[in-house]
Amino acid sequence: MMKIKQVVISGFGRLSQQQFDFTDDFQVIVGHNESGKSTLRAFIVGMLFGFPTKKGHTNVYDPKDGSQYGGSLVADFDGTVVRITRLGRTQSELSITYLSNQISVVDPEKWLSEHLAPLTREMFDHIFNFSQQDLAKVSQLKAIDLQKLLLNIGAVGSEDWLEVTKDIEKHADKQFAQRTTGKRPLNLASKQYQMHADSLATKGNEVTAYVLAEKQVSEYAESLLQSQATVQRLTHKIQDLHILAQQYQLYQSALALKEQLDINRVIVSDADIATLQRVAVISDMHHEKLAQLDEAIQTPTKVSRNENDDLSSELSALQVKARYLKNIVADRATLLTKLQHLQNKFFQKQLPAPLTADERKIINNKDVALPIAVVAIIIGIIAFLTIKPLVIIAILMGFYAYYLFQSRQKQLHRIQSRYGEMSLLDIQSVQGAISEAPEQQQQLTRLETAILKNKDQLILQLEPIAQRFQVTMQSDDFEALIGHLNRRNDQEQLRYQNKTLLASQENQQRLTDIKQHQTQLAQQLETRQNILQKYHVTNEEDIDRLKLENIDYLRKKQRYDDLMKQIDSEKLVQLRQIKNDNDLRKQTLLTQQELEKKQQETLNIQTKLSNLQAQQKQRTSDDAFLRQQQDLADERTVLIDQFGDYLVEKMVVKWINHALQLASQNRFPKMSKMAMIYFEKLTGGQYVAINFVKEDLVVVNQKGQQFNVIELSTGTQEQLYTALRLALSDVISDIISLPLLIDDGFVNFDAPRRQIMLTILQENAKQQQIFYFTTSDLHVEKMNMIRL
Amino acid sequence: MKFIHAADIHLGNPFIGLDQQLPEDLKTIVQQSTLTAFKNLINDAVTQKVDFLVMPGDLYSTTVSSPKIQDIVSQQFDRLNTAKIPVYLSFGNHDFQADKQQHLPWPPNVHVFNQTVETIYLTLKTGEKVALTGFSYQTPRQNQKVIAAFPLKTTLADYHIGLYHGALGVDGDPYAPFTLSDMLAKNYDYWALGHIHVRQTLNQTPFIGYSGDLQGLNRKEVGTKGYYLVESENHTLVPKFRKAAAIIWEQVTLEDVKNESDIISQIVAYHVDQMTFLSVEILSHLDDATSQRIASGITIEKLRAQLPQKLWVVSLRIQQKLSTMLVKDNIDQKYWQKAYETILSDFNISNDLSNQAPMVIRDYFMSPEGDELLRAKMQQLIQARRV
Repeated sequence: MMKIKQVVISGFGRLSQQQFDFTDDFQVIVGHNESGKSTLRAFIVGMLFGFPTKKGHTNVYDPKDGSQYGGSLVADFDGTVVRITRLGRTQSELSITYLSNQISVVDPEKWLSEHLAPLTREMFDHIFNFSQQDLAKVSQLKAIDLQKLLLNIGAVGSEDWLEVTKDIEKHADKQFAQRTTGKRPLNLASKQYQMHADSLATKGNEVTAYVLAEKQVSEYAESLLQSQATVQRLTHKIQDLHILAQQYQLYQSALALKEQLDINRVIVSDADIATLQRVAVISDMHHEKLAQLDEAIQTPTKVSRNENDDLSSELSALQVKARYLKNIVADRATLLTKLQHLQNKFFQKQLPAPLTADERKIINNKDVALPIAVVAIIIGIIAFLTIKPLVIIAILMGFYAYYLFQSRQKQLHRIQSRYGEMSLLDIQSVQGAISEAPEQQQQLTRLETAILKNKDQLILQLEPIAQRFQVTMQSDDFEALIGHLNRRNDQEQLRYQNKTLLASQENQQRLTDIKQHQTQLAQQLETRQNILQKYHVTNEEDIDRLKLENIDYLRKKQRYDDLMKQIDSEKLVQLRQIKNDNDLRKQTLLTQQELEKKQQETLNIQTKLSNLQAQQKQRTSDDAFLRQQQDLADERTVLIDQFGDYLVEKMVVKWINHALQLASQNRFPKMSKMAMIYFEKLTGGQYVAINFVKEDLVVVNQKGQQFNVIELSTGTQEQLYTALRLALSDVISDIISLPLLIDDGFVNFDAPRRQIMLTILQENAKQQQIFYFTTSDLHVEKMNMIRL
Repeated sequence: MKFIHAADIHLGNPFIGLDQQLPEDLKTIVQQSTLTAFKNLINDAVTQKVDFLVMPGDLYSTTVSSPKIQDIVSQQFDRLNTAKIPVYLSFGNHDFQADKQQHLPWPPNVHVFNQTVETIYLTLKTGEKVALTGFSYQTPRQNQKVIAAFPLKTTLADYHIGLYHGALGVDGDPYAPFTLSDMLAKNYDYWALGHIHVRQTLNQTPFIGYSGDLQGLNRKEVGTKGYYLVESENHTLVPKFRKAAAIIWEQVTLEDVKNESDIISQIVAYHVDQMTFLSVEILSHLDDATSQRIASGITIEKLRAQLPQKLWVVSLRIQQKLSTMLVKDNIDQKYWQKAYETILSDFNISNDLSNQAPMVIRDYFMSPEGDELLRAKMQQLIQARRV
């Protein structure tokens, strides 16, 4: 708590060389206008916070009489009494001296600001120093300013924070307005979001539409199938009708032809004509054959018999002769062979003479030389062993044996050379033959004569026969020839017999043939007759005539059949029911119309179906719902972010304010409470509440009526302001308490309220020094009064 | 005995958390992703020649559908019909109304479970008999313990399978609450669960578990996604996981990066086998300029221009800790901390965000995720604007 004890003015505005001593409590300073009340007040402020520096619009209080600018002030800062001296306006010099020991403070600026902290001149003016003019400004007073004031006192640096909150709040408020008519970005974004959300919600109806349409699709598809089936049926019907129309034409032509045709006409069949022709030909053939046969029977064949004498007996006689000839020829040959054989043994030489009896003896005697030789050897050996002289006998015997042997060999050799070196045995064997040979030669000659004779005879007799059978007589083998002739003779005989048999057989055959031909001929004639009868005619010419007539008929008939063939048998029933062309045409036309109608219908259904399907396809392929949904979600994310920023800004403003408020010990609510007490007192209980509503101050009277400041009377406005000022200074008194400077404040107060005011001030002055500057000294105790 | 357990197919479910920068071609893949995964599933069912399919809930993502989805469901189920593979379908909290609304007729092989618990019998080609018990949701919530209405294992079949769309919980919880002992008490051979998108096994034998969703739907549903191919091994039904998802979501935290080019090169080098959507969080301390570039989206834009074909970065964020904040401030930290807690606990969406903002946005900021986002962003902002 600070109190001002004394002020000494050297020169300051109209005041110079003056000293004022003040009381500690309620100091009233009375003076007329121009007496220097405001100057004194300005001097006190100047001493504390420095003199005004700026020239021009502000009053700088230059001394009028040339005294030195400035002066001094003695103040008691909670028991520490100092003299504060400021001299010079432009380069004002501050010095502070402790009155107790006259020591000057080293850094007076710092000392002073520390002791006045946290007040600045501005804050001092806003709380402790006010005049009538300030009171008039109450209508411009804002809660925030008051709050700021208080916060700044409670927490240093609050002002910056308050700037920050102001800035943040301003930014936040630009983003979003809480009211319904707001057009700020977040209001717009919210509206847009709501719109999108609504639009998405209506998208939900699309499912209903889609599901219903899907049902419709299947209905359409079914009716399309039915319709297509009908179209197909009608198309077929029309095709049938066209065919029917074509066939009707044919049918008509066929009917016309049919009328021309004679139903009873007998048709000459080609087969019958052919049969007749065949009959004619066959009949002719039979006639001819019969004629031939008749002729053949009347001239029978004759067989000549003259050449056919039987020669068999003659030939058998000849055969006997021939056999005889053959026999003798054979005999001759045997003889010849025998002779030849003998001859051959002597190599074609003359036959040797037969052996004599001696020679035979020699040949037949065996050789005795060898056994003698053997005996001689045995004797020789025995003798040698026994009596040696006997060996000579043995040798002699040997010599004899040798002689015998040599003589025999000589004789034998002689015989053999005569017989051409034959062996002895052979020589002995041929002896018989050699002796017979001459007789055999004679016999041979005889035989040859007989052969020649017989042969001639035979040839003579055989020749004519051979000629007759035209056989050449080359071979001498008569036997074979006769055999051959015999066989020929037999054949000839057989042939003759056959011929005769054949002739009789032929005749027999002819008779049979004649009979057969006659039968067949009769058959043919019967056939012909049948056919002629069939056609009721007598001859072939009539038939030919009929045939000619038939051709025309048949041509027409063929045409009719052709036509009828082209008509389906099942159609025939329908055709028979058709009255005429028109009927048919009408029917076709009607069907055609029906078809076209149905086709159009089908087309319509098809179009509807494809449109619907396309729509469905679009519904399912279009991601609109998903996209919008995601977009909405993203939009929400962004909105959350932006609203988050907004909310955070709002919250941070609150946070800062709250923190400052806490730091400032809740001075603002305290202040407002105190102000209310003052205001209630001042108005005699007329008003019961002061409310800070945003920017505005609102007061409430006893009746609960609310008034804006501007609605109050001037006096009441000033009372409200004074109440706030008093409350402000009260509420910060724990931090700082300076004297209150009130300059002519209560001129608009009525007497009772002024009295209350003064009472309050006097009461308050017990705690806080109060300077009350006034023009009137009424209702003020004299003791505390200084007159200027 | 071979069947497929596929839950939470969420046909047509949009991806949550993508901004509007996604390239056109990726957009198409994203839009089709749930449908693609579904087709993959059906392909596998046909080639694997399974005996049947069970789908315990959330085949559709919402009660709203589209002709295309209808068309695909109809087509694919028709394929199964041709292959003589029956489908057992129950509806969950997302598609509870699916059967009441207009839809193409189900092919004869598709059986939809009633709203009351019902048991269906099936005889396999092998002659084995299978009983299937399940139910469909009638509203998006199912506060009763539907499990209580499930019969005990039947003696009429060789296998008894339960289809259950719900979550562990107590009576009154919104998604057909059940306890593990509830299910074990039924003595079934297999419980095909749906609803929880994370693949998980609640009990090994008999198997009780979630196959997880067929396709990850937001950045939290990370990793491979698909279905269970279940086969009998000595009369025990054993599930094997099979992939089906078209796109994989993944999350990566970078703890050692120095600057922007370092961040980009590390992410670009991230190995992927199939189309992957990556969320990146940075834990390292970065200088103000880099942080600013990341916060303003410049870095991610630059990064996206260099990504390999199969990789998309969904988000790039710096993770900050409150304790490191505003240490040098004039105002006492306790005031900041206290003010922070106060205003967050006082946070009321209807005061702070008028109904001029879309309902979904307001809902979001009431959710834990929204709260988390707010906190992170508040910290970032105050850090950026500190005096």
